Amino acid sequence: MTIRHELDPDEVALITRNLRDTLDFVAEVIDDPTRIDHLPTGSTLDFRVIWVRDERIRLTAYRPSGSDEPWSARVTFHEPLSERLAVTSPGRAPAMWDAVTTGETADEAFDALEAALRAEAADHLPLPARQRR
Amino acid sequence: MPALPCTEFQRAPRSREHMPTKEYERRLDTTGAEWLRVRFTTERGQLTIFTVQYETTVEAQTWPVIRYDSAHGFAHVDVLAPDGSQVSKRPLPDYLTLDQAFQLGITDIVQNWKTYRERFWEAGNDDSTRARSR
Repeated sequence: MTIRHELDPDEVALITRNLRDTLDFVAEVIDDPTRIDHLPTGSTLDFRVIWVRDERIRLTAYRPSGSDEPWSARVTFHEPLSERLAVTSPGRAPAMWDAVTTGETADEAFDALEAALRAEAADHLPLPARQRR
Repeated sequence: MPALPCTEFQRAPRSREHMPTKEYERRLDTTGAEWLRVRFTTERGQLTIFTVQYETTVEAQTWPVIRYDSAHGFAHVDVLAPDGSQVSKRPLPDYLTLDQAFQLGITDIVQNWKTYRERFWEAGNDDSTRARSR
């Protein structure tokens, strides 16, 4: 017996996003398992990928499985495409990579972390760019 | 046939307990009823054992539907029925590395969980379980 499901565009988009996020996460874990040292085992996960200047940053939100506790979010991966504009350029405070934000939903936790990362990146713009703001 | 709730998620062998083992779950849809659960152990930076499982939830009960894992010394996929019995157990191709088998399990479940859910309730073979597949 063959069962076929018609997928609407929203379902296709969700499957595509789930595949991308989950396989990226697993590939990164396989590459370096220490990246998830701070993610407690037994957590429910959600992901968001953002670009800050020339750096791809993966945010991971987590909370204990089956709980109603607030979500926490932190950076679990970052990859500069350009040394010149990367947020990890010389002089940059590395503390942002360890920042943890919380929210009632995963999106709230993501939004808070993303805002903090963008604000910190803006403070570290090269001088000419800062003058143009 | 009465449907049985999900039993405890399959545990890694005792000899592996000292290694860093992680278990996570992620929603597969927007209702919160369909879940991907992964469990894996790494040793010196290498994946050594994994389980990838699709679980469906109906009326606060959760059932494992299909499970990829590397227990028993080889990567394989178990297809399960609502009564907890095993419908099939198939080895994965032995040319796959453990990493590849892990990723194959995730890919298959994320793409095909709806089909597996329908087959799962069909395997229950009664009106009450069949209704849950819709």
